[in-house]
Amino acid sequence: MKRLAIILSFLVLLLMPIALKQLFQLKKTLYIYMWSDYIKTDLIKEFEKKYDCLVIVDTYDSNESLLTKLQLGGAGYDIIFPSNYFLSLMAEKNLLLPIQKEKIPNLKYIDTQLLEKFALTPTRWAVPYMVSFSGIAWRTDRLEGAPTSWSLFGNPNLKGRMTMLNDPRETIGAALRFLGFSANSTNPDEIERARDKVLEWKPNLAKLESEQYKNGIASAEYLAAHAYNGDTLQLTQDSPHIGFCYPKEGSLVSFDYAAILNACNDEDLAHAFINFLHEPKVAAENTSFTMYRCVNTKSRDYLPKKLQTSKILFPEEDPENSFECIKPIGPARRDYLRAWDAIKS
Amino acid sequence: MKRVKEWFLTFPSFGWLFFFFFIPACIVYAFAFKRADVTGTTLPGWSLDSIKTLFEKQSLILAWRTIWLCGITTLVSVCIAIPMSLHMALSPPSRQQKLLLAIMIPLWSSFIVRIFAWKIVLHPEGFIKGILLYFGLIEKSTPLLYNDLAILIVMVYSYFPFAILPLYSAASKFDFHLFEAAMDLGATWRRTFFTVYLPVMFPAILTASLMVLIPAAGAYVIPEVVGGSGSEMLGNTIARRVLLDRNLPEASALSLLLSLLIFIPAILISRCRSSQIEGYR
Amino acid sequence: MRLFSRWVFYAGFIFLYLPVVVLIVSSFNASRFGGAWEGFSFSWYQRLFQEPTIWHALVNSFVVAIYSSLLATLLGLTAALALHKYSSRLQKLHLGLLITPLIMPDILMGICLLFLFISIALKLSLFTVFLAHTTFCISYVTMIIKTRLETIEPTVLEAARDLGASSFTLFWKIVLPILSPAILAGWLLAFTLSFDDFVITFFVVGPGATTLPVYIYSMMKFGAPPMINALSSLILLFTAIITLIYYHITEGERAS
Repeated sequence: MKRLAIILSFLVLLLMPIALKQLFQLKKTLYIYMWSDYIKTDLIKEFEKKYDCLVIVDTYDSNESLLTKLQLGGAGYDIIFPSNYFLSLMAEKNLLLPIQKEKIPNLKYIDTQLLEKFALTPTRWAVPYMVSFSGIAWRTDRLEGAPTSWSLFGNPNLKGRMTMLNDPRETIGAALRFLGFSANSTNPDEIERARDKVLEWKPNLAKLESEQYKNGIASAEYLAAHAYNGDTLQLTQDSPHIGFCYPKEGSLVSFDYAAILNACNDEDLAHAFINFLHEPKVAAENTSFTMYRCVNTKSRDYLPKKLQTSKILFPEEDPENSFECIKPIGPARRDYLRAWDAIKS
Repeated sequence: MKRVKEWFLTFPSFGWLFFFFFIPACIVYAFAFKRADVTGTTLPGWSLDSIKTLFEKQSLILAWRTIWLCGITTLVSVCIAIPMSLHMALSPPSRQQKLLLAIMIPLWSSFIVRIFAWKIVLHPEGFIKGILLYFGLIEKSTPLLYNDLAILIVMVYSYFPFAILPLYSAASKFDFHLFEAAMDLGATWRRTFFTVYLPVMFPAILTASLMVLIPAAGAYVIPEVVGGSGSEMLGNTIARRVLLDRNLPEASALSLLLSLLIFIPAILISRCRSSQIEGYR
Repeated sequence: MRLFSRWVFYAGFIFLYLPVVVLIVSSFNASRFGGAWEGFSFSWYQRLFQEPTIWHALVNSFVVAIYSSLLATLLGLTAALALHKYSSRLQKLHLGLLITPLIMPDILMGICLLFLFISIALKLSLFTVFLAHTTFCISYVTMIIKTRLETIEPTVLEAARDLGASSFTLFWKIVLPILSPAILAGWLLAFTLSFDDFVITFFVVGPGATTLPVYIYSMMKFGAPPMINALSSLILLFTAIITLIYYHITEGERAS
């Protein structure tokens, strides 16, 4: 018994410095909260070496959980990556620090043309980082021919082998587009009809998933999935039998912005990180790894040839595709959430 | 002086739990009587709006689904645990320790890990499905994951060992000479099991049911990982209200409902048990 | 009926160990995506040891588990002693306060603690995880020690008192040594509960404070590389060893 007490106290003393280290970080630290698989780890190490700091990355899987974590006292993060339609909400709640343009010289490379195309005005609260287009990922070895319409999810032959995104705006938005309405509709009737459409599709869906569909499609657990273009391109690196397409009724695009939180510890370091991300070579390296397109004109020149002309990465150049950018809808959000509740129950 | 000494000894744990458990519980239940706006800020002042949402169609469906999933889990778990604990009690004493250990080891290993393991087992391209297909028990398109069935299987799997513990404890104290006596009087082993063994074990059966019911009712990880989009239970919805919808009052209202679902059976069972024990005096 | 219960036992046993075996076997599956078997490989174990975030989470889990289990054991010891020695109305309240966490599901505990931390504006961090873990472990330790306390023959204590032992000596030299296996068992249980906890931790974790179960869960959600299988297999091994130690300790208890 005495022996055990000695071993125990030894353990406690051993862990004491580690515990203290966890509680009081000695090196300059940058806390980043971002989507998963959104940045190449080598680039983080490069930044850490360049600025002699520690970078800790935590991940979230939806804008909603991001906002909640921030509101519920999960502060302590310095940089976050909200989608464009969440920015105004966050700014309203005084969560963000205005960007100091002088500290980010690489702003000159931002693809303002693309932003204008989707009617996005420059904002002082955040810097555009990446753009993602949603569509349908499918198993080329199991399905006959690329799906061309959102109605694929109504196909009972694929029952239990399909998923849609676990995001109210994306999934209800897809149904709205299918019915010919705007994905930013504030009309309660249209929202209700879209809800009913999703409920019609629901029996064929295995799950509503925004992350795990990647693994599911790769292991053939799912044969088709409502997916993001970047995630799917990532998969095709390891798995040859995966295709991606954009439905003819039109699909959705959203921009992720890099924003600095009010409660940030080191403003200069945070700005430096965002500047680093928009370094054209860094942005290109990131895109080659994550398969998400950086909103950076110069970086395209540094991409591998295959990606430079990829129809999946640069779909808006193809006149056959039509896209709508997800925009904030204000109080109509309540209708979307109620509809989502009905879908989830 | 004695009072002071008592207080001194009681205060550390009492104080800690009072501050970190009792007060928070009060806060949560108090939140049920508030309202939140669309963006997720809790508004000041009191209101019954959040409680009213408990009576909407969706909440009732949710509550019913939670009740019946827990009910079946408890029933199946206890039905498995009774013969298993009987077998353990009938084994020679030296073996009993080893059997108990064998049951306990998986229980002590990481819960998350074991749930995750079921995703592999029930994989649509995995070998269980292969075996079932081979024997023609299911069709190619029958999903094994992401539905109520998967939740039931994994819940029973996670909680039936909890039922074994109290049942084994009671079974090991049972005087099996009663069986001999009954058989001398002409009854079969089976008859004695149902008319003598089970009634004596009844209080333990009630405890075992409670030990399964409580974690099952509050299940969050299991429906989240292996459940489908149509299989949300109270636990998930509460989590969703807090973490995604930022609707703390509605989350509290649902927590109130969950607490009722647990405390009512718990109180009924403990009443039942104490009257049972009275009966034996 | 006897035969029937034996078969049910074996079936139940297989049921219990099936996922564990499947998990361990698939951790050696060379295929990246589970499902079909593609050859034997140690690569996932190798990759495991190169991943820094896992070690970060492991250290966090250990630090929290050690400190919260120690505090919970201390508080549980005083609680058990108070409950055993006194039987006033205060103790009835005390008992109620100790039993209720045992019948509360994890998710409610998690929510309660989260709401508390929000209300007192305490930033979520490893410290809040430590507070949460201590809170839910106290009850378990108390019950274990209390049960053992009740089995101590009062006559032993009376005899010692008759021979002139003071209250202090009584406690330190007689009660504590008898209790020490129970205290150890309680501590071990608290350590395991803390190390393994997911739901409560999930609600109160802050930036950079990820524990191992939370990390595994997020790996599960964000695509499951087979590294998790390897990690899980190692965890299973670790807890098997701890369980054996626990039973070794309490076996001595049962013998006496």
